[in-house]
Amino acid sequence: MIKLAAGRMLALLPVVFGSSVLVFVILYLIPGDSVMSRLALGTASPERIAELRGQLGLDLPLYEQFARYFSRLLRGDLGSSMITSEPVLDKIAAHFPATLALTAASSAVAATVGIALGMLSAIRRNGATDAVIRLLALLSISMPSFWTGILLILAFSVHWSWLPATGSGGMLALILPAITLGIAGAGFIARMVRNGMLEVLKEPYIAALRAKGLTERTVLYRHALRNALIPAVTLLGMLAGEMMAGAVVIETVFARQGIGRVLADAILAKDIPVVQGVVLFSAVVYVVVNLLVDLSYSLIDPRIRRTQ
Amino acid sequence: MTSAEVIAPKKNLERLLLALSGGVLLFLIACSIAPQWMATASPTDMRMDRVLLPPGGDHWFGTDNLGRDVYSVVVHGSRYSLLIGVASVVLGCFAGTLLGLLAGYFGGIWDAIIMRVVDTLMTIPGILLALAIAASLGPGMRNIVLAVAISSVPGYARIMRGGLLSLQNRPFALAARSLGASRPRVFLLHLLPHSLPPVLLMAALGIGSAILAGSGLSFLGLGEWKEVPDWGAILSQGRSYLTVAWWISTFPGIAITLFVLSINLIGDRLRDVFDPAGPLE
Repeated sequence: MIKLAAGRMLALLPVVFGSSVLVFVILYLIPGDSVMSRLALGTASPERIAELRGQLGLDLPLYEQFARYFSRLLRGDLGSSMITSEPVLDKIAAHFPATLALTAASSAVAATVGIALGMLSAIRRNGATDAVIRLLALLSISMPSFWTGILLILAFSVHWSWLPATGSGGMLALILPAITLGIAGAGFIARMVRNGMLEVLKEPYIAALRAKGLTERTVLYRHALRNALIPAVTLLGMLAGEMMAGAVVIETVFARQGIGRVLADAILAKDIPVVQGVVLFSAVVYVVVNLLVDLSYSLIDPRIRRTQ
Repeated sequence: MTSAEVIAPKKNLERLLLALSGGVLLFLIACSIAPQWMATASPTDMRMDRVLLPPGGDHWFGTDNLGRDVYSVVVHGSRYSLLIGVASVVLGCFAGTLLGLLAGYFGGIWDAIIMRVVDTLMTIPGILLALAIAASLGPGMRNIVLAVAISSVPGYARIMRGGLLSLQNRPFALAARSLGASRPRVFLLHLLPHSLPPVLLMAALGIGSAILAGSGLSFLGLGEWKEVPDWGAILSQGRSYLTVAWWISTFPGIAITLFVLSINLIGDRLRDVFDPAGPLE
C-alpha cells in the first residue's frame, strides 16, 4: 500500500510540472500586459514603464522568464501580488481554509443527498418516486450555481431572514454556500449511484444472494451498494476539484473570503502572479485529491486490494 | 424490436417532457434569431417613470433599475448566451476531434505528445482553465468563447482517439485495408464516420454545459457588454437589487436553467437510443 502510494506520488511530478508550464504559457499570452494596468492606464512615462518591466522581469525572453518562474517555484515562492505586493503563498494560506471548509461541506452534502436519492431511485425504479428524483437530479445539474445561490439568498436571507447571506465566519454562514455547491454534485452522484445499482442488481451474484434467503436489506446495503459506490467515489473526487473551481463563482455570490474570491478579484485586476499561483495551487490540490480517491478504491473493493 | 419502438418513449410523462423540451429549445432559438419579433419592448428603452416595477401588466418579468423591460432584455440577451454556447462547442469539438484524429493517425511519438498535452490540460478543472484563459485574453464575448472552447478540447480529443483505436482492428477496417485502401482513405472514409456519433452526441450535450460555463464567466464580469448583456451579466446586474427587485436576477436564471435542462433531457434520451446496451431498466 505504502509502496503503491509512493509510486503514484512520483508519477504526479511530471503532471504537476506540466500544469505549471501550462499555467505559465496561458498567462504569458496576455496582450494588454499587466504593467500598463498597474500604472494607472497610460499616464506613466515610457521610462517608468520600462523600469517597471525590468523590475518584474517582463523584458526578458520567454524561456528566461520561465526559468526564473520555475526556479522560484521550486523554492516554494509563488511570487507576490502586483497590486498589494503581498506574497501569493501567504494570500493562499490565509484564504484556503475558508475554501477548504466550503469544499468539504459541499462534498458532504453532495455525497449524502446523492447516495440516498440514487439508492431510493434505484429501489423504486420506474415508479413515480424514481421519475421525480431523476427529474430533480437533471434539474440540479442544469441550474447555474450562481443562480441557485441567489435563489437561496432570496428565500432564506431576504424573505425569511433565517440565515446570513454573506460572510465567511462561523458555521451558519457556511450553510447556504455549501448547499448551493453541493446540490449540483448531488445530482451527478444520484444519477451515477442509480445507474450503478441497476447494473449491479442485474449481476448473477445478487440472484445467488437472494436465493440464499438473505433479506432484501442485506442484499441492497451490504452487497449491491458497495459495488455501486466505486464509480460514485471516482466522481466525488472529480467533483471535489470542480467544486474548488466552482468556489470562484460561489464565493463571489456569498462574499466569502476564500481563494476562489481571491482568484476572481485577481482576474479582474489582471494581477497575474496571484492568478498563476492560485490556479497552480488548485491544480495540485485537484491532482492530490484524485490520487487519494484512487487509493481509497482498495478500501471499498477488496478485489483491487488483492491484485496490488 | 423495431427502431421506432426503441425511440418512442414508453411513458406519457417522458413523451410530454421531451415535447416540452423541444418547445423550449425552439422558442429560445427563435428569440435569438429574431428577438425584435419575440420581445414586447426595446431592450435599450430606459424610462425613469417605470423603474423597478414588479412583474405583471405590460411587463411580464418586471422592469430593472434603469426602467428597461426585463422580459425584452432577456429575449435579446438569448442571442449572446446561445451564441457563446454553440460557438464554443463548434470550436472546441472541431479542434478536439482534429487533435484526436492526428494522434490516432500518426501514432507513435505524435500520439504521445498530443495526448500528454491533453492530459495536462485535464489536470486543471474546466472552469478554472477557462478562467485562466479568460484572464489572459481579457474581457469580451469572443474571449469567453475561446476560453470555454479550449477547456472542452481534451474531452473531444480523448473520445475521438479512443474511438479510432478501438475501430482500427474491426473487420470492416481490416477488410478495407486488405483491399488495398491507403491509410488516409481508411482513416477518413472508414474510421472517421464510425467514430463521429459519440463525439457529436458529446457536442450536443456540451452546448448545455458551455452555456453554464459561459454565463458563469460573464457573471464574474468577463463579458464586457455594450447595450444588451447576455443572461449571465443580467443576472449579475440584478444582484445589487436583490432585496427590492427579486425578478431581475430570477428570470435570466430561469432562462438558462430551462435551456440547459431541455438539452439534457433530450441528450439523455439520445444517449439511451445510441447506447448499444439499451436503457437501464
